[in-house]
Amino acid sequence: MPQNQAMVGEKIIIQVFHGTSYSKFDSLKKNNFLKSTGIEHERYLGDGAYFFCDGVPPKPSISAEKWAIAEAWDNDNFRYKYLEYCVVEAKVELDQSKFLDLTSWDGIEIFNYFRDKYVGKLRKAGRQLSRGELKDGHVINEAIKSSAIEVEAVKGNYFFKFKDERIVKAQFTTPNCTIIAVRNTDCILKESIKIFLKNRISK
Amino acid sequence: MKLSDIKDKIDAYFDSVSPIEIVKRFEALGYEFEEIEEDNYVELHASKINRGYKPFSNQKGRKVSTISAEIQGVQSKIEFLEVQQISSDPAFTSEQFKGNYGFAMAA
Repeated sequence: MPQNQAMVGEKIIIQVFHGTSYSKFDSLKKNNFLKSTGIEHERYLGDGAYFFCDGVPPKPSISAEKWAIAEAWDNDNFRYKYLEYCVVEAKVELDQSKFLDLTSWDGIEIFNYFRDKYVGKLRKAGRQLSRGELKDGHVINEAIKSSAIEVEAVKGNYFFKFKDERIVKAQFTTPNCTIIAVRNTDCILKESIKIFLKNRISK
Repeated sequence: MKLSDIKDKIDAYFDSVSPIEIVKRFEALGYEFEEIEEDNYVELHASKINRGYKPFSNQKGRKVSTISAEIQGVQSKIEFLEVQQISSDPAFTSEQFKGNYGFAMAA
């Protein structure tokens, strides 16, 4: 079992980290994290509130800080959207039977079962993609919705582009972080939300 | 979460939905499809394999797994033995084990 993860009966409690603008912290603390459905999430684990958690090195708090810095940059207007950033720490409590862990053999077996089903259906329909490529997040969203499976959170290992990777336009397949998408935000323990680190980007 | 816990739900859904319905669901997400011009679709036979294996720890020195399947018209049956028996039983050498395993891979 990874560090910062504990089993309590049928529940798993995972410590998670989220990097963002410091100005957003009060709202997060007051209203909790929101499940988002943005286009960026299609590439990863589908809908959910996204966090870094323990798994692939480096530590999730380091990845969260890198993310806060990378996301501060507005590449359209060539300026920082914010200078003060923070890493928010929280705990997530999940029902073990509703946790899709794609870093485990069991989780990958489930995902690949779905993937084979979808690819097989498309093949039987005699159709191929003419534009775009099937994304993990869409398969996960579709699979959960269609099969009426209750999933509170999905975890996976991915390669993320942080500031330096974006600058040098690096693209790798070996993961550099472990992320978790919490689909049921009620699983985020509100009282556990606190600032782990606050800092300022030096221009 | 394990596949065995939810497999029935998944199968029920995919058995109930047609291939074209799946295409439409993905089109609604923004994907575009075109017909495959030369479709030489071959259904996998390995998916029909009957796995009847038992835990290794309970079957020391005995047959622990039997896999049978009809692959490309040939009925095949492969029996796996616990490794300790293979090394000590002259009647079933590791070379034979490799041979059988190799057959499984080739089939």
